[in-house]
Amino acid sequence: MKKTRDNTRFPAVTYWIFSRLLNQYTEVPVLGDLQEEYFYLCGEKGPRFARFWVRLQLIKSLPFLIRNLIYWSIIMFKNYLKISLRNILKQKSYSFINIAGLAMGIAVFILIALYVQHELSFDTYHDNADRIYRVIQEKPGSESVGKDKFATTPPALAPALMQEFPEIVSAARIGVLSNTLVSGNEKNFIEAKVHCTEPEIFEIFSIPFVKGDAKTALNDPFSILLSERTAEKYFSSENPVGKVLNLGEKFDFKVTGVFKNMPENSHFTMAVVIPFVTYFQFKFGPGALTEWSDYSSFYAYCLLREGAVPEESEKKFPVLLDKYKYHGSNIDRSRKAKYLLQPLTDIHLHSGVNVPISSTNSDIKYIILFSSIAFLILIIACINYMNLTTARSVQRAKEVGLRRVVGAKKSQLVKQLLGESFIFTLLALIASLFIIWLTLPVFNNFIERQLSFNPVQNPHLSLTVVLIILFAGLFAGSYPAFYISAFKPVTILKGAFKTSSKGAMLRNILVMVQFSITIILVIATLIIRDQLHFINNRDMGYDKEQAVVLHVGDAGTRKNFHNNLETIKAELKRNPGILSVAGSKRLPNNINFNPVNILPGKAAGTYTPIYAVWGDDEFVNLYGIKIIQGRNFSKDFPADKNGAILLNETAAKTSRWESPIGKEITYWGNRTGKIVGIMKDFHFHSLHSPIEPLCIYYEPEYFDYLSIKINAHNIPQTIVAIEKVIKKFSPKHPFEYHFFDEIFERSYRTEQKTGKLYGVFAFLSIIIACLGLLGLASFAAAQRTKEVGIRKSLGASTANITLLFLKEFVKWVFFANLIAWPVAYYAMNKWLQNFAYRTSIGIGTFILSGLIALLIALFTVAFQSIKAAGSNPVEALKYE
Amino acid sequence: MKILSSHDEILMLTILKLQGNAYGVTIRRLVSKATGKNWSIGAIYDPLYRLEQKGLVESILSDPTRERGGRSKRLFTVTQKGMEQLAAHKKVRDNLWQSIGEFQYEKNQG
Repeated sequence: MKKTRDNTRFPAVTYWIFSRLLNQYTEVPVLGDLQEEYFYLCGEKGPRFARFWVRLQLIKSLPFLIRNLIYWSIIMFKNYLKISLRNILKQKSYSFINIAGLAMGIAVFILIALYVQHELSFDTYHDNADRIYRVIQEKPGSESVGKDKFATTPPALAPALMQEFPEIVSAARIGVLSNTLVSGNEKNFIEAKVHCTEPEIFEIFSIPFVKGDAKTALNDPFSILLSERTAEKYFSSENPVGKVLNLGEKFDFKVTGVFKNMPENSHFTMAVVIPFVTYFQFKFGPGALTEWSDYSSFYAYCLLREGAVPEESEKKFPVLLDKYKYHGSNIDRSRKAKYLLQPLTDIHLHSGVNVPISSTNSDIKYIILFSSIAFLILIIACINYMNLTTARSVQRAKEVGLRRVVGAKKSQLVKQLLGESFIFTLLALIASLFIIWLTLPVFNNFIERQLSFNPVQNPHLSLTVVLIILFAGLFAGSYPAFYISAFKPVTILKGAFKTSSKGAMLRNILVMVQFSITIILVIATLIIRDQLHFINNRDMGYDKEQAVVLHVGDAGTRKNFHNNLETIKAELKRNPGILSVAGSKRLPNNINFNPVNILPGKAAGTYTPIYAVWGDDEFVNLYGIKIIQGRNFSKDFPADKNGAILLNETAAKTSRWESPIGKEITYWGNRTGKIVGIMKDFHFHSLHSPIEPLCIYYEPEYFDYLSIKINAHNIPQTIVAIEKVIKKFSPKHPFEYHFFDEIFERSYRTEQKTGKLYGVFAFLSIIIACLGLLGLASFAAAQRTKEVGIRKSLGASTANITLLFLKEFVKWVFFANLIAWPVAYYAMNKWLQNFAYRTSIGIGTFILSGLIALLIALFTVAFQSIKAAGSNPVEALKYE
Repeated sequence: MKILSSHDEILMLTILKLQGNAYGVTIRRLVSKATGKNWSIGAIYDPLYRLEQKGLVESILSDPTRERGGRSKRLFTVTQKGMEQLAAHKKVRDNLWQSIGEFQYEKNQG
């Protein structure tokens, strides 16, 4: 049949629009009115006019329709809100647990995300951040000291860069002076780092000046710049410009500028700045200014022109080096250093170099690890939320069925159940903000940063979180909303409603995985604690107790100590609380110099690397290091002053000689020392490394540390006495002391933090796993009411049924253990391999963790099981 | 005394006039005829529903009819409260008009 255009029909599109925009209350009468008038007009004025009229009505009524829609939507929304809130309050404990679990997951995610954001943001605040590069060099054959890339470059590099490379707009070098005494305005502080640099540094980096002019402030070689914080430290609120600070008891500097504190997320920060050329007044001498040799404390940064490609510049380096450094000499190309341009923003996380300018670098590995953990936790929290919600909705199936019977439209129910889910997630979001507010200070303390969370200022993060949570809410709500509302009400009321067994298996596996993770984390935490215990209790080969340590190696006051060691010792020992005093370049727990190739090895003509440090005659005894052959340095043997050496056992064994005592070693180029004694091996590095060859030269001057063994009585008094003596010989030295056992403990701070971190993760994991299990238990309990009813009516007791339920869950925990134990063993074994000396992994740890998991599981499901077992069978079976 | 808007007053009077047969179509026709302007569906229903919220009119659904495609009509009536407000409103207006009427007359005369 040919299709004819039916002109008398009501315009379909318009009709459709009207019906969509009108709500339930208005829809029918209005459409009826339209229809009536349409027919009338068809008759009166013809179909064409009628259709036109209807369309016109639509347009004229648009404001009304839209306003109506909004108004009604708000009413419906308020209604849903009321009902949802009422429902939530009706199920208080369930609601609380579910919201708390989700909130916790969100909070952890946000905290970790904040940390990751912060780490990724390092150095990005500079205006030219994407064009700033650090010059690093790759020196083949240096793998022995760690990595083969170095952050340090020769002092003469930067000006050469600006001259030879047109695409380098600006280049500056920084020389770092360590531990310098700075005095001014009656205050003395030892500045850990003084940076010597050029005005170009302020063209490259965005460091605004508060006082003074960046371009000219460093013109005078004895000018000094301070950060705001440093200025305040010395001069409080006075204007420091024009005032004088003395460095290293050698030179006076005039303050010519103050710059804003560099933000925390910088790979290095400067506090005190002097001109680059002045560095050589302190070290190496002015000749080194144009040197192309490698010294260990110069860094070069440069700014590339817009659009310049760093690889192009890198290609030009060999030519530059040949011209300036190697002077066209015939050194093998493979032994020449290779210079590279490292982007500024890579430094903090991808540094991978030796001798970094500052030790605050992290590694991208951790960022990836923590990001993964964050997402994992959030996802698991969401999944648990969905599980619990689903389980709950099964219990509410009856209520839903009833409402369907009474006439609720499916879409209404869907909207309402979804709405409830959304409200849950919204409450969880709010709760998570509260949790973050509570825990942020502790978190900041732990990671040693100052993070803050302002959702408004952090749109990326806020949006991500909100999206994920909305998604979770949608997902969680959609299962009960759609699945259950779709059931015929009769089916639900009859109780024949069951969920798929596939879903159940998935849920079970999920809970098992959560428990596995928990067990792994608990095992990890226990083992880390074991190792820390091991470290603390291990005999390191030296005594840690009752030793007060002063760092006296600063440029400035050290000569006061070096020149007067014997007198200071005599003065100190007059105090009965002081047992012995020793000077040494380093402390026994960390001799962090690079090894030198001076120990004659087994094969003729070879030398093996040996760690070397220098100390006086009391050092070995003060720290209880045993001499097993020969003797210690001694004033009784005046020849010792010309060069005496102690070897440790490992060095003795590695050396060429069967009995090394009396043999000679050449060190520092031209000095020789006679081996006078052999020390028992002690751990002069952390327990990560095995004990390697070590020698101590007798050197009663040039020490960095003064160690003082004191009596355990009246320690405060002894400290005061020590301070008095020190002040007498070095009045400007800022008196700061540490106890050696504290120093020792602090060196394992990373491990301690790791232990704490895993502990926290384990705790979180336990909570999350419990939530998962709770969901499962509730679900199962609801599902099996009929089964329970039948069993009870056949004579089973409450106890029998409780046991039945518990057995089910214990099965899963058992499997969780099976999975967890091998994984944990493998992982912790690998971690322990990092330590040359380690504790052993005992079966007890595994059993303990398994038991903990079991107890937690039992505790979680006990309540549900008992409730289910105690239910009245009549209730369950009355619909049959 | 709550002020009734002009629209509201006109609608309520129209409903009264229609005496039990006041629904969308009839109201719209009468009002359009009375005011000389074509009121749209929206312009009728919007104020009507607001009046219903305020309790000045009430409505019931009638039986469906064939011409309306099987849909019911919503018949409006003015409530007691609505009547009282109309009357009060009228009184106020009458008072106001009185003084003006005399005044304008004299102005136009003289």
